[in-house]
Amino acid sequence: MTPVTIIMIEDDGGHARLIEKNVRAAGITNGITAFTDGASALRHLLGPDESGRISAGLALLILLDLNLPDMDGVDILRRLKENVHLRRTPVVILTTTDDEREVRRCYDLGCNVYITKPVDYARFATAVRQLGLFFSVIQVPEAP
Amino acid sequence: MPSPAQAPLQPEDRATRLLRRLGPRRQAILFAAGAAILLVNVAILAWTSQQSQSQSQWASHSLEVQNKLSDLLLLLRTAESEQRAYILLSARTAYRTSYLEAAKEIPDKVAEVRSMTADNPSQQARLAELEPIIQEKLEDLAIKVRLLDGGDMASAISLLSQDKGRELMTAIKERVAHICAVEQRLLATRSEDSTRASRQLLFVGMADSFAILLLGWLAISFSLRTTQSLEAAKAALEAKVEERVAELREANDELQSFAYIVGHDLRAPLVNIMGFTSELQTLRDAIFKQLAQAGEASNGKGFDDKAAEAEFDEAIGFIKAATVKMERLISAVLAISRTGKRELKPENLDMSALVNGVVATLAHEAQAVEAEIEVGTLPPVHCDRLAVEQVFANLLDNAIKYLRPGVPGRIRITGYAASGRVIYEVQDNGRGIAEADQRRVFELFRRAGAQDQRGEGIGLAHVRALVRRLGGSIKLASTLHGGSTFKVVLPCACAEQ
Repeated sequence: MTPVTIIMIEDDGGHARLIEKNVRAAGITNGITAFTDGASALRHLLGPDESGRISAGLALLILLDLNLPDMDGVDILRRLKENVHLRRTPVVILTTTDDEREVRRCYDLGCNVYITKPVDYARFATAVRQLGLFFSVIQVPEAP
Repeated sequence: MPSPAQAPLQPEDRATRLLRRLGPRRQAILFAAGAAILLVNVAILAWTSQQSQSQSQWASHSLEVQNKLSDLLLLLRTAESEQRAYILLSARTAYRTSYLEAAKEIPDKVAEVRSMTADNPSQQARLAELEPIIQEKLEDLAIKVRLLDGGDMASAISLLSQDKGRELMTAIKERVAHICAVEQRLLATRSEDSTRASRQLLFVGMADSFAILLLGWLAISFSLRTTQSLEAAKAALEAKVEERVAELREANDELQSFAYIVGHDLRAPLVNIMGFTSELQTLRDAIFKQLAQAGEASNGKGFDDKAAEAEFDEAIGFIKAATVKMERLISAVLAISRTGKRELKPENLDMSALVNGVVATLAHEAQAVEAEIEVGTLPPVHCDRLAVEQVFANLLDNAIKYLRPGVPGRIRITGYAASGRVIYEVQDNGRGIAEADQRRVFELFRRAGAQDQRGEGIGLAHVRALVRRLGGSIKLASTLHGGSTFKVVLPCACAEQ
């Protein structure tokens, strides 16, 4: 079984750092590839031909923020879930948006976990660490 | 679109203009004209009918005069023939009596005719000519009768055979015929007058009817035009109002999504500030532990690490307090913007039960400050349950929080319905709000009075936003230290959205 790579799509460098710190604090040592905008993340995941074949055979876990500077995170989610190679890859939404409709929309599109970033750092840390624990037990399929 | 001034003047336009120039009084003018025509009509009818009545009266008068004249002739003939029979049939008294009766009636008849033609001088003149002849005739008849009465039958018969009696009779007949002919002519003129009068009546009637029809047509076309232009104006106005409402709604939506986006976007850096402040705090222990060890080694030259630690903690403390406060403010903005975005689901609400439910959730707080809450009978409303609950929860929470120290709290909720609205009043005997602050308390993040209670200054702003969203309003009546009354006015049926 290939080790799972965490793809983190998060434009805020501070958030990215805090997430990484807490994931590591939970004892997760998997590789984390960070992207600060949607376009470069999609290019990495789908490849230059946008077919997603480039990710075939990889075990990935995607950590996605919805508020990105260049595109709507929901659109990224849709693109991933529509792609034959990536649709089974678990996607965790970790964002500040707590609008009910937005949450519902993401689950409708096939997101696996939706977590609102708590402003209170203690709760934030707890949430991310619990997410880390979740990563350690989750079975991630290899992209076909 | 060409301006009306440049457009060629159509006849219809001209009519419209004329009507328009008559101004707003035009309906009244038309009505007055109609009424005037009707009045004239009635007057003319009355006059004409009276006229024709008198005409026909005059016509029958002429006929009567003619009748009297022929009666007179008949009487004269009767007198003559009876007298003749009396003389010729050897003094039979029956004829004499008949003669006397006829002769006696003749002057009366003449008098009747005279009085009947009193209005006509020429006929009177003719009668005056006729009367002496009749007198003479009667005298002539009387002479013969007197002769016979005296036994002189021969003289009487000889007088009979003379032509005088016949001549007199002929003269009388001629004159009577003349008078009759004059009456006949009069009759003809009078009936002609009568015909003319009724013809006039017909014309006047027709003209009147036509005028009234014209006025009616004017009035109808007028009110049609007015209705049309009114409807057009109304439609234009409605379109404009709709447009404005749509614009306002758009602006409102924009404002709300602005508040929402700002709230969220402010949260993101706050996560960092709080996160890294916490990280700094974790680092702090390591740093100062290290410093303490190093300080011991260098024997505390110049650097007071205890003071530095205290200052560090103070700075971190302020940053943390500020971020916590900022987080609460952002949450408030988000809560209010969420209020505007939430879909309203109006339902029939038993307000007494609803408010009692809210009071039950606050029972613990009320008991803690020994406040008594009394809920009156409240009129029902068709509205969004959650929004109404939030309104009363906030108002009651405030009432419980801001009581006067040392005065047992009395909070009363009353309500009544009036002209399509329901009015609820939340009255307390608490500390009250100074008049200068009464507007401020409804503003976001603004508070009034002693700041001895926790709060962000959100509650009343939220209440006002909710009440406005439900199509109602909220008013405050209060005096400092004299308690407050919040009056919530809602439509009986809140709008769907």
